[in-house]
Amino acid sequence: MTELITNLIVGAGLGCIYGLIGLSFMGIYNATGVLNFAQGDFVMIGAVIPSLFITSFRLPTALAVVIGLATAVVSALLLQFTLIEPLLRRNTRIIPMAIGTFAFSLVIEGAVGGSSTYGTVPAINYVSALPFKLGSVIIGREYAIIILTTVVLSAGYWVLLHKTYLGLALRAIGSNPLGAMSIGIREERVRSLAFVISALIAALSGFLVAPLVTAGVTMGFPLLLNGFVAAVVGGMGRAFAPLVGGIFLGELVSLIGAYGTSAYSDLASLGVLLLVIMVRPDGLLGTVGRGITDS
Amino acid sequence: MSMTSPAEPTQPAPAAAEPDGAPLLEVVEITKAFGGLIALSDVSITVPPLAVYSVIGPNGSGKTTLLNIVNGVLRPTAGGIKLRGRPIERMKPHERAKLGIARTFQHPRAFGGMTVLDNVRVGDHVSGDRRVRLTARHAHEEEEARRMLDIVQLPRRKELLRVHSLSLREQRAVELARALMMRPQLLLMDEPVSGMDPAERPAWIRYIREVQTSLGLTVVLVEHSMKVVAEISDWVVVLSSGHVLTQGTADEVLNDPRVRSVYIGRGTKNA
Amino acid sequence: MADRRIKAQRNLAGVLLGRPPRIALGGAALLAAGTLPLWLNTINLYTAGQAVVFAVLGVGLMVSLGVCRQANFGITPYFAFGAYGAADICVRWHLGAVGALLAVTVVSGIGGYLIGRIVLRLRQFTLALATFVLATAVWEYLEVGFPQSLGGGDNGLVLPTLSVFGYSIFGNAGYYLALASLVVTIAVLAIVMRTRIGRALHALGQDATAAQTSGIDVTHYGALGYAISAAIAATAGALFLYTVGAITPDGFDVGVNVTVLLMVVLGGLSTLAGPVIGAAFIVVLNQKLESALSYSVLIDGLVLLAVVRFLPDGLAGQFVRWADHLRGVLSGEPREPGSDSLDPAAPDPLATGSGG
Repeated sequence: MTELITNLIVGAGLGCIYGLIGLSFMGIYNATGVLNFAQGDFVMIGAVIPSLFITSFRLPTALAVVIGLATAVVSALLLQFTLIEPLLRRNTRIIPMAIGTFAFSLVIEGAVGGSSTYGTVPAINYVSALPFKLGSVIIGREYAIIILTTVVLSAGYWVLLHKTYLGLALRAIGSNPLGAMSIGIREERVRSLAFVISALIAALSGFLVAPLVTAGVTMGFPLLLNGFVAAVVGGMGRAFAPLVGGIFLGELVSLIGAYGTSAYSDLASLGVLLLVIMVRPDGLLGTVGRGITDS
Repeated sequence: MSMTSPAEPTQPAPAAAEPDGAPLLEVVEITKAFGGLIALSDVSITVPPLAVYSVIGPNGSGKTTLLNIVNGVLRPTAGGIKLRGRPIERMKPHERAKLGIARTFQHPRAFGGMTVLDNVRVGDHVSGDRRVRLTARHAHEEEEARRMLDIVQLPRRKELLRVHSLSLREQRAVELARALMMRPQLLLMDEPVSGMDPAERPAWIRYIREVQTSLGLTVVLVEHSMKVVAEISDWVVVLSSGHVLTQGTADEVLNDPRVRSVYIGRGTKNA
Repeated sequence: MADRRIKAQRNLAGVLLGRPPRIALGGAALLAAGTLPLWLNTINLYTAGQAVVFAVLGVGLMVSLGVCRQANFGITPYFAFGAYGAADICVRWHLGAVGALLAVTVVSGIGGYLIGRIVLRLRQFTLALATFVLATAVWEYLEVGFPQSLGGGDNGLVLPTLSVFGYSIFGNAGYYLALASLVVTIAVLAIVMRTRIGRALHALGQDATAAQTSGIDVTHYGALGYAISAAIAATAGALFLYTVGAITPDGFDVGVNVTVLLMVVLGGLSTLAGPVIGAAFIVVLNQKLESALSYSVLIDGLVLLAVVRFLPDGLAGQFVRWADHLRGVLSGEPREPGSDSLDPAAPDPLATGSGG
């Protein structure tokens, strides 16, 4: 029983991380139509960069985190202006676009990893207090922080989308770029906004998840996969969808890992994705705007 | 592009209009909803063979959706489609193509990276299942494709050019040639003069009628401007917000006040 | 009168830059490749052999990714199947090198068709993601789950002596077998592309909806294109086994997947020569960068990025574009800008669907 509850909470925590990544991923997709293979690497930057700066330069944690977030933002803007904007101007089709973001992810991994792309970095514990104790269940405080952060950020994103002018602009250029341009919305600037927000959320989630998984240069991709599945399962376009989808997926992964074998969790995510696409392509909450089955 | 009569048809027109007068195409109470948006509502149309039917209406009235449903690209939410009495609403687009339904699109969708000739040759794909005539057909298929190019008046010297280097008008011609290559019974055309120089439109429209007559086709034409198609249509169906507002001969529809009111605010030049 | 002059000019240009010279170029390259064993030492010959093997793999991927425009980011499972399968067949059924090669090709093709019919229901990005994950999963399985006796795990598999028409495969025979396979594959594909099937595959890659409307069963032909890629990949796999002699799961990891993608994009997805050029380029580059191998991820990424950004047609495609343009200029025909190539990034008038 204790074990089950622990696994459920771990699953929820993991799920929230997937939700955050899914949120960041979905943000870019909704605003730009770009499916960003490099998203997982923004997460990785948030996990790895602070750790490197702390161990190499002995910076205080807070400062290291800021540097990590800044690096992610810079990378995202770099991606936007060196690759995405030129390709969008040329009406590039989706395969070259995907290859492009994939290439960018390699560049990030190569740049960060340098000569050791298979190494891992020491985890940073941002929680110094002892783990919670609920009855016989022991759970690290990180999980509470993660879940709380995810809920807050999801709500914040919802507010952004639905209650601010910027959010309106984001939704406008996502569903009707031409129309948006004609009423004076500067597409490029709004896209930059989407990239920046997305990078921040991704990097933050990377930092939060770092102590719970092994943080290394190649950690990005499995997390991207799960984040993507979370967004799809929840329903693309809705602010709370990645959270819902993420928790669903997180529980699944956690339970499989606990009672089955964790070696095939990637395949499990893929299986869920296939299932959702075939049975309910709009996701649990329903898709708003551009869905993934629109080519 | 000079407008002369199309070249001699390569095959005799199909056995003349059905002696029993059975309709070629029946659209039966078609409804299409996209989530909460009702694009088509209870639309019924009956098209006899060898006729030119025009479906007109302002933008957003559901004309292209209707074509997509007849063609198979979209599934209706309710209702049925019959081709010569045979229900086809469950069939995939390529199966309907094999039954003789061809289609052109509002923005010509020819295969940009392929040559003009190859584009047209793709149209022969529908003959794949008819094994009996297989060898004889395929031996002449390349020449047949060239003859289609003659019919749409594309010069043969352009046949090896890639389609994306052609002008819009030429791409339309290629698309049409490909459709004609399918030897269809029913040709669906979505706004065939969209994007064309207004001065050239009447000629192209008349040309479509000539092709229709000489090849013995049935044509269902979608347009938003009635003036353009009035001359060649045997029958006009007016769609508005997904319903059939009215239908009749071109004269009847032109003079119908309801039709005029539907177009008010969209520029009387379209009425 | 002007017509005749134009015709004459076009003939000259056609002769200079059209098909015959390209075939001649190809023939010359083939001749050079064929004589390599005479003037290269063993190590360099090994590199050349690898280039040929990956050229075959690249050509295979090109059918799915280039012609049919399927977001096929996971060709390595079929590559691995070809290698491990050929090894198994040679050892167990004593079928001989060529026989094993043909066997894995056929089986992979059939399997590819069945898998294709399922997997291709996914749309572009999801397909890319799914195929990529699948490829990774297969590699993980080879590392961990695959029985050691068949070559799984770190031990891998060592090929026992094998002969082709009397020559030991570990000598030049392996290289020549690879070269011959490449030539045959390219020749067969070139012929197939001129047939109904080829046109159907090409059409569905250009515009699947228009293809459907024209009578092409996109599900079937899509799976067929995927199957052809799978079959050719298996051929490459068997050749890989023959030229390397020993295989381990590392030979089919994510890095290899990325490398193949890089090769075909660099070489160009629109011509048959593209993957060959890309493979040659990358294999040689990797060899030169042996010392800097640790930065290979970064370099791979930068090269791929540069190609996507500046050379969307790849090297071969760019050459074709230039040649066509020049030919157009010489023959005096007015040319529309951005003309004759399968540029995936060219402004696509067909990109927007019909409205209303």
